[in-house]
Amino acid sequence: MKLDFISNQTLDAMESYLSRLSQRQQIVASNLANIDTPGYKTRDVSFHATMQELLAARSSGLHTTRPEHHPGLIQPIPGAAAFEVQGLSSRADLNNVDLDREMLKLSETSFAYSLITQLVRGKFRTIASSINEGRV
Amino acid sequence: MSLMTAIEVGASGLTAQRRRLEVLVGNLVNAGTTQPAGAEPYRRKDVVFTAASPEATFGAALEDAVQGVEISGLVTDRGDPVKKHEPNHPHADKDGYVYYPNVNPMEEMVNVLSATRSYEANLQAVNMAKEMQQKTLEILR
Repeated sequence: MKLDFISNQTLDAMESYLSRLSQRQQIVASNLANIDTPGYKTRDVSFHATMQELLAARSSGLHTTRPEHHPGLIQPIPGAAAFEVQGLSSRADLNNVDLDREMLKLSETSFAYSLITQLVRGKFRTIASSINEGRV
Repeated sequence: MSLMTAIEVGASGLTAQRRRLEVLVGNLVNAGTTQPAGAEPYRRKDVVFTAASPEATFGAALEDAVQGVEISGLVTDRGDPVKKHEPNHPHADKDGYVYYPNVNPMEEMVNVLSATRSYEANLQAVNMAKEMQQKTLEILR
């Protein structure tokens, strides 16, 4: 039985989620910096990959021993591309940055980021625990 | 480090809003200044913001998306000066009119508030990015 703790799918997924969150943080900072720039449009990065994208991006799923087994979908989210957010109302100068929306995204991003960093720490603690034969 | 870009972008917003505030305060303090007859009275000024790419390097997919802000120009409001009949004023013209700047203090106060709020929003973005970096460092603990 192969125990591959260090390079592990969950860690990879968490890593890609963290990097996506830091991209989102940059985009939100950019939206806020340009809150008074005429003609600037609100941008965002996508967090929702479609099932098709996930299946296509899957390189190594969980090990399956029966055909009915599901290989799992824990994997890095496919590449990010920023897009212009639709459906926001523009002001007279054609700028559509909504301060409340950006502040909400800011706290959401920060919260998700600290959640994932906690999970990564937990993962490493698990590894440390096995190295120390269960003694923490 | 990509969160550095977020801080840099936030800082560009802080600088731009602070400069804007300086210009707005300049308008406010000059709201009552007059010039001798024949000279051009003070006219209100405002800044023009433009999105600008930050200097740091970052992922190709985000190249155009993450943009800081810079002041691309200072514009002068061409609105007409306010004409008041004050014959005893040292700056009155031969008909007794004094030309006051086209500055409406109320309007300027609203703009000052807007600049302050935008400044605070950028500050918040910088603080959040700092916090996230701190969290990253805590993984090592």
